[in-house]
Amino acid sequence: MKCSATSLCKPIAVITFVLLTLLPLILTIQLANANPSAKEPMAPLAAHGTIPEAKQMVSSLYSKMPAWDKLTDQLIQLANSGKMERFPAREMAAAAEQLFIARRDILHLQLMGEPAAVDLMRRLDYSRGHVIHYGRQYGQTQLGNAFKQKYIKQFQKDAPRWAKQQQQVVSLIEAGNFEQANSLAEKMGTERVMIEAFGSLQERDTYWDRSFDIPTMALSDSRLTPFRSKKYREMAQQRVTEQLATIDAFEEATSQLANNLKTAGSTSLSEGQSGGPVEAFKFVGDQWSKTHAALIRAFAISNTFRLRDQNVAEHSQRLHAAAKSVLLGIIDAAADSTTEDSAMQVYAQLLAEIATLDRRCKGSDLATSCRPSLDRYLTRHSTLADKVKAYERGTSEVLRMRREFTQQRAKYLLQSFPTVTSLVDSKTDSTPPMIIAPKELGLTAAKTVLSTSEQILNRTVSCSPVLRITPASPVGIGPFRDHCYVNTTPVAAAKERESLQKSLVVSADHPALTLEAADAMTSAESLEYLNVGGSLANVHLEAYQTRFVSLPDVASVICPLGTLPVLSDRAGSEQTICWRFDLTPQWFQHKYFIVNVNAQ
Amino acid sequence: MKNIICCRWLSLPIGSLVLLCICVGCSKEKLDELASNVKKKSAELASSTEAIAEKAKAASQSAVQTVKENLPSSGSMALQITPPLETSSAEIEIISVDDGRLNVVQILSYNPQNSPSYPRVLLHGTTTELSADTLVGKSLSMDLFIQTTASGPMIASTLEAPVVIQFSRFNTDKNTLEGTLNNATLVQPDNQPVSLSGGTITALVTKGKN
Repeated sequence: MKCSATSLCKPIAVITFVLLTLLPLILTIQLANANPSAKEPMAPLAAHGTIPEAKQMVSSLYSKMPAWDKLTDQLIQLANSGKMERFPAREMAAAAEQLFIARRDILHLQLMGEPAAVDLMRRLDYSRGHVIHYGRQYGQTQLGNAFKQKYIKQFQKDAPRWAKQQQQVVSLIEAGNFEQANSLAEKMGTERVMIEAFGSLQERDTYWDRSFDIPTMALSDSRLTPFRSKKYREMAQQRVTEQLATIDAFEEATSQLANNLKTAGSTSLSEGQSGGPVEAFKFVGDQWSKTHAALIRAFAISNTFRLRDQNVAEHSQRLHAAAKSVLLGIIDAAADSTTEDSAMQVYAQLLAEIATLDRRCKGSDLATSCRPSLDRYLTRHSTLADKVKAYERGTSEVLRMRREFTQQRAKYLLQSFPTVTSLVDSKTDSTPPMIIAPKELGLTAAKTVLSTSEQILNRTVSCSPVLRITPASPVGIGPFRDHCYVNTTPVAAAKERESLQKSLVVSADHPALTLEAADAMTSAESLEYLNVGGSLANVHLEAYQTRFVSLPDVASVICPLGTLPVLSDRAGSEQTICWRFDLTPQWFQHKYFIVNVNAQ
Repeated sequence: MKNIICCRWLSLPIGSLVLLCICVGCSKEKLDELASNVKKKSAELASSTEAIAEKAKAASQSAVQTVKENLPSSGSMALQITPPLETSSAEIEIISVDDGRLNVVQILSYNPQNSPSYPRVLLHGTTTELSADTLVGKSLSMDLFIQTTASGPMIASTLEAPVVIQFSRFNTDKNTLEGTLNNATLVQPDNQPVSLSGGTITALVTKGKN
C-alpha cells in the first residue's frame, strides 16, 4: 500500500515540478504571440481570431508561402540565366491555381479584420506577380504556347458547361446564397486561372476577364463582400458587447463587498472564497485588471472592425470610477470594522495593496484618491495614528533625500540611454534617410523587421516604467506608448532592498506605515522600477490591432488602468505596427536606488 | 540712527535761545556773548551726547551678550569635504514608533517644515536607544545626504559604507549632543567619489510632537 502510494506520488510530484518550472515560460508565451522578429524574420504575423476560423486560415496561408517563394526564386534564376524553356510549366500552373485561391482567402481575411492579411497579400503578390510575368513570357515561347493551347482547346470545349455554371452562380446570388455562389465561382476560377498566368493580354481578356472575372467573380464579390463584412462586423459587435459586459459583472461582484465588510468584518469573494478588507481589496484589484483587459480588447475590436459609437473610453472611465469607489468603500469599511488589535496590520497591508495597484494607474491617481479614506482610518484608530505620525517623521526625509539623489543619478545615466520611443519613426543619417522603426507596415513584415533590427539591435535605450505581469512571471513590461512596448527581465536587488528596509525600519514583523514607504517596499520586493536602461537584444513586429484584440487578461499591465491604447497621432489601421523591443537590462532605476545589473 | 535722534533733540533748546534773542531785540555784544555761550553749550552737549551714545552702545552690547547666553544652541555641523561645509543649525531626534521596531536617529541641519534653505544635511540611522543622551560613547552607522544647493549635485554615503558617527558628549545645560564623523568615501550622482575627512556635529536634542 505504502509502495503504491509512493509510486503514485512520484509522477504527481514530477508533473507538478515540470509545470512549476514551465509556468514562467507559459506566461511569457501568452503575451508573446509568434510574430516576425530579428531572430525569426520569416515567422508569421499572429492572428487575433475575432472570427474564429481566421486563425487556421492565417496559419495555413503562411505555411504555403515558402513553396511559392522557392518557385519564384527558381523562375528568377532561370530567367536570369536565359533558360526560360526550362520553366517548370506544370508547377507554375499548379501554383497559379493555388495563388488564385490563396488570394481569395486573403481577401476573406481582410474582411475578418486580420492585419496578417496585409502581410500575406504582399508576400503572395510577390510570387503571383512573378508567376504571371514569367508565365506570360513562357506562353510566347514555342514550348509554352503548345502548353497553353491545350488549355485553350479545353476552355472552348468547356464553354457550354461554364455558361450553365455562370447561370447557377447568378441564381444562387439572387436567392441570397452568397457563400455557395462564391464557392462555385472560385471553383470555376481554378479551372481557368492558368490563362491568367500564361495567356497573352488578348487571351486573358477573352478567357478570363470577359468570360469569367467580370460576369461571375466580380458579380459574386459585389454581393458577397458586403454580406461577409456585415456578418463579421456583427460577430465583432457581439465580442465587443461581451467585453463591455464585464463591467456589469465587475460591479455585480464587488457592489456588496464594502457593506459586508462593514457589518460582518468579512465578505465572500469568488466562489468558495472569503476574506477581510485586505483580501477584498486584492480581489477588486484583480477583477479591475481583468475588466480593464476586456475593455482594451473591446477598444481594439471596435477599431479593427470600424465599429462606431462604442464609447469604450466612456466605459473605461465608468470602470475606473466604479473600481475606485469600491476600493475607497473597502478602506472605509475597514476603518469601522477593524479591531484595535489588528488595526496596524490591516492598515499596513492595505497600504501595500494600494501602492501595488497605484503603480498600475496613471499618475498616482489611486493613491491620491485613497488618502482621505486612509486619514479617516487613522481618525478611528488614534493609537495607530500616533505611531504613523512618528513613523512618517522618521522616514519621510530620508525617502525624499534618497529619491532626489536617485533622480540625479538616473538623469546622469539617461544621458547615454535615449528613450525607446525615440526610435519609432526616427530616420537614419543615410542618403536618402530611412525610417528606423516605422509606424506603419510599408513592406512585408519580414523585410521591415530585418531592416529595423539592422539599425537598432544592440543599441542602448531606456524605458519607463517597468512593471511585472505577475509575481510568478520573470517578465517585466514597459507599457505601450507611441507604437511600442518593452519586454525585459527585472533583476532582484538584495543589497539595495536591505538598505531601504533599514532606512524604513521595516522587517517581517514591522511593516511600512506610510503609502510612500509601502510603495518603496512593495516595488523593491516585486522588482518594479521607474526606469530601465539596456541594450536591444531582439525586435518583434506585431500588428497593433492584433496585439490588443488578443490581449490576455494577465497582460493588462501593458496599459495603465483607466487608459486605452490610443495612438497619439492617428487611428490604428490594419497596417499599424506595435513594436516589441526586448531589452537586456544594464541598470534599473527604483524610486529610491539604482540597480547596476552587472554588480548583482 | 540713535545719533541722529539725539542731535535733533539738542537742536531744539539752541534754536529756541536764538529765537528768543531775536524777539527781545538784543545788542551786537550781547548777541556775540550769547553766540559764544551757545557754542560752548553746544560743545558740552555734543560731548555729553557722545558719552550717552558710548554708554548706550555698551549697554546694548551687554544686553545682546546676556540674551545670547540665555538662547538655546541651534547646533552646528562642520564636514570636512572639498570645499568644507558648515551649517549653523543641527538637531537630533530619536523617533520611536513604539511598536517594537528599532528607533530612528535623525540629524537634520534644516527644518523640513520651512521653505528650503541650503546647504541641507541629513544623517539617518537606527538604534535601540530611546534618548539622545544615552548615545554618548556609542558609534552609529548612518546614511548621509548633502544638498549644497537647490539644483546642484547631491552627495551621499554609499550602501556599502555608511558614515560612522561617534557620540562623545551630552551638554545638559545646552541640551546638545556632540559627535564626530569618521573619514568616509561619499559619492556624487555621477559616481565620482567625494572624500569626507571627518567632521564634527553639535546637535540640539529635540523631541518632535506626534
